[in-house]
Amino acid sequence: MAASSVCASCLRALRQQARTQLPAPAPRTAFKPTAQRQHLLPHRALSTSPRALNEQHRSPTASTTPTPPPPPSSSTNPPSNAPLSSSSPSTPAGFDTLATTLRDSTAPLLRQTTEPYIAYGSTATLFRACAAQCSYTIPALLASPPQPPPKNAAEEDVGVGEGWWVTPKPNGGLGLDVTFNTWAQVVMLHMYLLTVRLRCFPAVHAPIWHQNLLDHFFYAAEDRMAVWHGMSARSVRNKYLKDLWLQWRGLLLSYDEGLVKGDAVLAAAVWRNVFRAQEGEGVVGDVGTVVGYMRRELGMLGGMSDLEVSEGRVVFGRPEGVGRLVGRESAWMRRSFVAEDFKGVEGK
Amino acid sequence: MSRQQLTQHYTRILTRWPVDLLRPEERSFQHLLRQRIQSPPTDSAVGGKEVNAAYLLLDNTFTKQFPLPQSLMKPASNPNHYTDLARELEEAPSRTWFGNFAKRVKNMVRFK
Repeated sequence: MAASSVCASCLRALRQQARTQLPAPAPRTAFKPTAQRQHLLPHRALSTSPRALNEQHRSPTASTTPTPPPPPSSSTNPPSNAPLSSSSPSTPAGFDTLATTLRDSTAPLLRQTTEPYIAYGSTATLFRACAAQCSYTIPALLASPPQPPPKNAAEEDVGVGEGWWVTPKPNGGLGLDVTFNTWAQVVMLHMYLLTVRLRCFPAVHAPIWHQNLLDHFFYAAEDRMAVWHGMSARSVRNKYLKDLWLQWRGLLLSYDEGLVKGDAVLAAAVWRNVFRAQEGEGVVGDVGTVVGYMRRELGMLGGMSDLEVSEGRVVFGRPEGVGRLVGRESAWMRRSFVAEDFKGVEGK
Repeated sequence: MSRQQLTQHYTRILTRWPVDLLRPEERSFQHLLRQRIQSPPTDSAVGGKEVNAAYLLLDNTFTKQFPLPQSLMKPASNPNHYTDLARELEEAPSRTWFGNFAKRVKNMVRFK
């Protein structure tokens, strides 16, 4: 007799499978506008409304007092409370006007009702951009029969990865160990860049966006632990997730400190986090590459508008180009040494 | 570049690298630099690239090359975020146990 409920592992496997087989999601809009309805919806995407954002930037007090929803700015759109005689039969008449009214309202309570849903969807796209930088599988588990995964010196499972960060150095990559910790650090680094950009959202919305981005990361991390590292016990996964949370908070602080105090401090933070404070050969050069990449991407994100970021249209650049920047000779290489330069080793 | 020159470069970098009071000694960059001074890398090309990268970082080369807009350093959701952080990082290492305790108690209640 078939079981009436699906076990958690099968459910996860089905979900993974379904996720890989689904086509890329369509651009996010609250409702799919059919041809006949398209002219009735005001032109906006699933995002923090740019008009309201601009209004908030220009007059911070406008959002504090509730005002009736403004009439649509475009002259081609009818007033939002006009009856929709040509709405498709599947959507109840007037339902999409209600959602549109909620979305475009300048009343804070109505905007905030819809913000978490929009943030959830857009941060999923943003997180996918982060996770695309580095991914790995453990082929031993896919063999028949499944073999125990190979371990490195620190007893971590080692996989086969793709992405510049885990590509071996002879092939032009950074050559990091292909472990869960590396994956987490690389993804958290990119999430940090997005976090800095999301701080520029209005104060009432920024925490929602930060929280949703983090949620996506922790869902993915727990998924990875269960699927690729055999942690079927929730208590074990929770223990590692709590540790991952501490790592995230420490990373936020360290990288922010590096932003404030300069490249050297940011380099030390990257060395401690991404490179696990190891003294590998040529590690300082690699750290320099990562720092250059971070600052380049931050500059790129800083130049994007709030609308673009809230629609999830972020594409990270390629880290390979930064290698040339680190290869430029510094003026210090040819400068002669003075007595002051050797004070660092005195008294030790 | 000879071993002696490499060692001199690493020493200069060690003298100028900013000190970190918040992290333990084993996790400080100075620890790495001291190890390099004691045993410089055998491949002088690798050592030269390392030293060059360290100098570029000391000079804030990437900060100057990719300047960040003011909107990013004074974020709309909290314009004082980075200034508050800088002040806290400065004060934290020298705060006494009681100072930490008092701050934690004060932060339990936040007035809007």
